[in-house]
Amino acid sequence: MYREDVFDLIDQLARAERRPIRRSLLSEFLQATGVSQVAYVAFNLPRRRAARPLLSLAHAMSWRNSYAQAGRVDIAPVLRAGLGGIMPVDWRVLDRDDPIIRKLLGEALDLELGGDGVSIPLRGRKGEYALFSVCLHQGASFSMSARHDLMRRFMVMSAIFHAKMRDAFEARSDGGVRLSDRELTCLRLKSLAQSDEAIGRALGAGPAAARLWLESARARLNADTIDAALAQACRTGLIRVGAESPDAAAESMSVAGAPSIDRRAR
Amino acid sequence: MIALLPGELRTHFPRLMDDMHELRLSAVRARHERLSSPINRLTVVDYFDSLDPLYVLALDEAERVVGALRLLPTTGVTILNDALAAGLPDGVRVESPLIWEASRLTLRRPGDCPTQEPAMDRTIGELGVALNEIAKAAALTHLVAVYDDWTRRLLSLRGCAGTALAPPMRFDGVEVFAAVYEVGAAMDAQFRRLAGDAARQRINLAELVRLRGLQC
Repeated sequence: MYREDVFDLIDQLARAERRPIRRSLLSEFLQATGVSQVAYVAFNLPRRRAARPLLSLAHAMSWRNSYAQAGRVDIAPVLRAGLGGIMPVDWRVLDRDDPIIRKLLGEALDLELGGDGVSIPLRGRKGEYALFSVCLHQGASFSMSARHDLMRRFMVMSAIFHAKMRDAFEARSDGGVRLSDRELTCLRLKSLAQSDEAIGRALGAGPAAARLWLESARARLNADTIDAALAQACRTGLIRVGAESPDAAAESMSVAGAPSIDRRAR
Repeated sequence: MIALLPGELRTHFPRLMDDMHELRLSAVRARHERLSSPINRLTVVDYFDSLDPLYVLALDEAERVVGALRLLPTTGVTILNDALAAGLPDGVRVESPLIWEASRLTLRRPGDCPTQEPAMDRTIGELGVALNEIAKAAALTHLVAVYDDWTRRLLSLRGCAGTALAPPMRFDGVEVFAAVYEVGAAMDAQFRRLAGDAARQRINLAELVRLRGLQC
């Protein structure tokens, strides 16, 4: 990406007609996660009109100006490492002995952006790609497991944010979500408080497969947790809690022929 | 030893890429040995390679590539969702930011390796441990692997073929299988047992970030 492109982009965005949906999405994300600084840049977003990149930032104007005027986009390690790849970049692994990185992070700290964060590359099925960066609060420290949980949360939230952005650009609504029989069975059984082992057995597989289909259902529903996915599935009538026993729910899967799948692999 | 190679940087590592393609080529030749159709490098580079996957390469002491696979997030275009979708349960995509796909798993065939089986065990083990580490670093919950019948038998024999996700499917005239691995301690132990001492060396994610910084 060239500096001129980003200048143009910022200029276009500054002059563009404001779209409330974009702002509310970012605000929702900030509110939900409790982080203060988010940056999102997307390319090749599918849209009806001519394709244009989208840049959305929660950073202070002082940082934007400083960043743009100093041409930081050409050297920003996060952008260089994040765009194009698939691995999330945990800023802790950036080489802090590198003078460029030290200077950039120093400036970020001066402007109270925080020198710690994660950047998550996003890939879409329609060829779009994006980078979602979150600055963590200055002074915040996390244990390894908390950091891992946080990273997972950001992975989920960034994908939801991206999906909503893509749908907004495509003028699509969430109305037509279709879940597979397996996903529905897993949600039904989960809502009946069945264990992952029991759900896996109903699928003719194991608990790992049950958790995979639950995760897949969660992502398809754009819910941030499995519990939220369950609530949404109940609310929208995708599943009906209390309408059937666990045995009946499991039976519906057997009819779909799932158990035969794993026999051969075993 | 494991090397992580971001697809977008393939031109910086021509020797490793050539080695990986050679490995794929030998696997394709072994599979199609009775076919008369010509097999060349175009056969072993597919559309999914153009999506800049993350390549995970196992190298031997001489730094030859002895095992390779590629990773792609399931939110984007993948073999499972876009080439094999008809074979998936209900034809519905497996799509989540916390699930990635591992495909084109290729291993140096025992005949090519002087130490044969132990070397194969080590390669499979090293790749599996590395996959689990990468997945943990990316906070993933699952990996979906797509592999051919020969690989499935190899993995099954070693008790690490994962959980079948769908019935066998056909891709490019070959029977392929999709399996799920749950990221975590159980997956790590399964492969660490095979890798032996080789698993002690951890993957270098900082190096990966440094490499990716080269691209602009």
